[in-house]
Amino acid sequence: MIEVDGVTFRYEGSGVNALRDVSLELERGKIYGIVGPNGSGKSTLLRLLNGLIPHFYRGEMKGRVLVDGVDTREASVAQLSRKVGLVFQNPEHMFFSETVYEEVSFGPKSIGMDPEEIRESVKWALEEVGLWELRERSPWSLSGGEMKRLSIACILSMKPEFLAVDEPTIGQDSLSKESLSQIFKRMRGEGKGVVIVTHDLEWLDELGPDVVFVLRYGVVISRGGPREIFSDIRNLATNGLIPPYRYIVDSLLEVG
Amino acid sequence: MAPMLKIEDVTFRYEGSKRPALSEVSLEINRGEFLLIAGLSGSGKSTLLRLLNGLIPHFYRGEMKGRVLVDGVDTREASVAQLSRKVGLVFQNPDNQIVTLRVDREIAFGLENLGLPREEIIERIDEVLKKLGIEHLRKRSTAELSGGEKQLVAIASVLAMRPDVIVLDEPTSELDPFSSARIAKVLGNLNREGVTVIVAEHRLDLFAPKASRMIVISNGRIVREGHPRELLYRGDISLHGVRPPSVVKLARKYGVVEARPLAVGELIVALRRGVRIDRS
Amino acid sequence: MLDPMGMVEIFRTQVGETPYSKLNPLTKFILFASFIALPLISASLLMQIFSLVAQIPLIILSRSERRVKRSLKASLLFIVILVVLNYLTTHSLEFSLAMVLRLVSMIIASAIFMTGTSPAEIGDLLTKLRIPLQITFSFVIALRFIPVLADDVVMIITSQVSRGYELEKGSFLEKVKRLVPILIPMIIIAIRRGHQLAEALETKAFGATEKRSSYVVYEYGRGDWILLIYAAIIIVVGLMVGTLTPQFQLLPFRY
Repeated sequence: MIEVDGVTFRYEGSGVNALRDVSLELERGKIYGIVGPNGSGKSTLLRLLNGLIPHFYRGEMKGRVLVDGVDTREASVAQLSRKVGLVFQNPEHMFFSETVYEEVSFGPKSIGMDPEEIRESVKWALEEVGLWELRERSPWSLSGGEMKRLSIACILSMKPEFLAVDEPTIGQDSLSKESLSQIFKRMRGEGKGVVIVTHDLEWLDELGPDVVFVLRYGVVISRGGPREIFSDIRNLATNGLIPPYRYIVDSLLEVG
Repeated sequence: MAPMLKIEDVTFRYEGSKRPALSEVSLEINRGEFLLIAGLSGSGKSTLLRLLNGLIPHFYRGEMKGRVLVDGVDTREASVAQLSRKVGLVFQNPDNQIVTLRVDREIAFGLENLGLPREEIIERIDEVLKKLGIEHLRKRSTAELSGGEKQLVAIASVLAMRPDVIVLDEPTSELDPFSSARIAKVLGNLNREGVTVIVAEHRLDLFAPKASRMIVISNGRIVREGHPRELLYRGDISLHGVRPPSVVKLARKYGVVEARPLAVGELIVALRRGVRIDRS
Repeated sequence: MLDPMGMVEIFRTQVGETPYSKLNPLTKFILFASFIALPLISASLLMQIFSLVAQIPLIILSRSERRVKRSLKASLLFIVILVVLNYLTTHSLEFSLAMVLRLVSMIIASAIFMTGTSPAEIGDLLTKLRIPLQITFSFVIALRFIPVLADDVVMIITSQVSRGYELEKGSFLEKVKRLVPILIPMIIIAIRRGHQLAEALETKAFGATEKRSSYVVYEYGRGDWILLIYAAIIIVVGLMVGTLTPQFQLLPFRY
C-alpha cells in the first residue's frame, strides 16, 4: 500500500504550495483516477509516489510518503522504482536503444535484476502491451500508439507493484485509448495498483476506476467512487472539469 | 464558382518509405466550408494537410502523382511562401511553431517576412488579437503562455497573414479539455465570419457539431465523405477506427436518433421536443 | 550534481525596467563596445582604473550590481591565475594588476549589457548591424528554445531516473557512458523540434523576400544622446590618458 500522509510540498523558488496537506491511500488491485485542472498538483502528487520528490525535485516537503511502510525519504528512487513505476507523457523522453527489446531491458538492468529474470520480465512486459512481435524494431519506427505502449512496457518490465501514469491518452486515437484501457484493466486483474492522472474524464469513466480523487490548488477537493464523483456536475464544473457526457445528460434530464 | 482547393487524384510516397502515404486522393473544398478530417493516427491525415499549402512537394521529398490546385494555382508552381497568403497551416505542437519571444512580435513575424509596411502590420495585429479575444496577451512573453494560449497565438499569427483557408493539424491533441473547447469555439466563430476551416482531429465531440462536412481517411485513402450527421449515425464508421462521439451513443439510448444530435445541447433539445424517449 | 533547474535560472535574471534598459539597443551596444575597447588602449594601471570607474554610473543606471558581483565571483579562480601568471612572467605587480583590472572592466561591461538588454533586443541589434538573416534568426530562435530544451532535459532525466537510472555511480569513464540515455533522447527531441520549426518557418513565409520589414522600431531619446556623448568623452579622455605614458601604447606585452 502507498500512504500519502499529510504532505505539503512547495517547489524551490516557488511562492505557492503545489500540494497542501494531502493524504490518501493507494492499494493493490485497484485503479485510481486523479483528476483536476491544470496546476492542481496532479503531476506533483505522482512524483511523490516513487521518490522523485524529494530526491530529484528540490523544494520543501512536510509530511511523508510510505511505500509498503518504507519512507520515501529513506530510499532512493532506484530502489522505489522496484515497487512503484512511473510512466510520463512523452515516450520519446525515454528512448535511446537500438531495439524495442533492448529498451525494455534497460529498467530491469538498472535495478539489478539477474539475466534470467530480465529475459522473463521483458518477454512478459512486451506481451502484455502487445509489442512482442515488434521487439527487433527501432523504438522510433513505431507508431504513436505503439510508442506509448512501449513506454509502459519499459516500466512494467521492472515488475513494479504499482503503475502510475501521467496523462496516458494525450494525442492518442480511439483505438490506442482502447488498448490502453485493456492494459490497465489487466494490470488491475493481476493485482497491481494502477494510478492514472488524466483530464480525459470520458475515457476514465469507460475505464471504470475504483476511486477518483479530484484535485484543485494542491488540495484533494473530493474523493469517492466514479459514479459519486462524476454525477456531482456542479463540483466538477466549478473545478474546471468537463464531466463525462452521459452524466451531463442525466443531470440535465433530471432538471427538465 | 470554382472550388478554393482541389486535390486531383494525388498519390504521394515519402522518400525512403515503401508504401504511399496517400493513394488516389481526390477532394474539392469550397469557400466557407468547415471540413473535419477524421482517421486513425498514421492514416494519412497530416500528409493530406501538407498538400494544401505546398509543404508537399516543396519541403518533403518523395514521389507525387496528381496535382493540387490552390485557387487555380498548381502547388508545384508556387512556393510555400506564396501559398502562405492563401492557405495557413497551424500545427499540433504549440511550442514548435512559435518562433519569437513576445506575442505581438510573433504575430508580426509572418507579416515582416512578407515585407508588409509597419502601419499595416500594427493594424493586423490589433485586428487579430481582438478577433480571438487575446488582447490581454499582447506583450506577454511566449515562454510564459499555457498550451492553449500558445495555440491561440499560433492561430492568430497565421490569421494575420489573411489566408482564405486555415488548415489545422490536430490543434487540440496536446491540450486540456477546456483549452480544446475554446479552440473549437474560436474556429467555429471564424468560419461563421467566412474563413474556410479544415481540421484534422480526433476530438469529434468538439468538432463534429461545427463541421459542415467530414471525411474519413484510412490507409491513405478517403473512405467516407459527407455531412457529419450522416456519417456518424451510420453503423459502420467504427470499422475504420473512428469512434463517434458519446452523444451518438446517448442519442441511441434515449431513442432520439432521428434528430441526429452531435452536441449535448442538441440532444437535450431533441429530448425536450418530445421525440420518443426509450430509457431501456 | 546535476542541477538543470538551477542552470535555467541564469537566463532569467530580470531586473525590470531601468533607465539603462530603456535606451536604444544600438546605444547600449556602442557603450558596451566602447568599454571593451577602452581598457585596450593602453596597459597602464591608470587606464584600467579609469575604465573601471567610468562604468560605475552605468552599473547604477542598469541596476546590475548583483550580476556584476556574480560574474566576478564566477571568474575569481581565473582572475587569481591571471595575476599569478602575469607576475611570474613580468615580475611587475603593477602590470599584473593592470591586466586583471582590464579583465574585470570587460566583465563589468558585459554584465551591464546583459542585464539591461533583453534577448529580443539583441536579436534586433543583430539585424540592425546588418548581420545576415539566417544568423540573426538562429540566435533568436536559440534563445526562444533554450527554456523549452531545458524542460526537455529535466523530463528526460526524470523519466530515466524513474527506470532506476543513476548518474552518480561509477568511475569517470562509466559516467560518460551513462550519459547516453540522456544525450540520445535530447538530441532526437531537439532535432524533431527543429524539423517542426522549419516547417512552421516555411509556412510563415520566412525567407520569402530579402526586404523584410520591421514591426519593432526603436527611437532615440534624450538618454541615448547623453550617454553617447558620455561615451565619446570617455574615449577621448582615455586616449589622452593613454598618451601620457608613451611607452605603454596599445597593447604592449613587455615593459
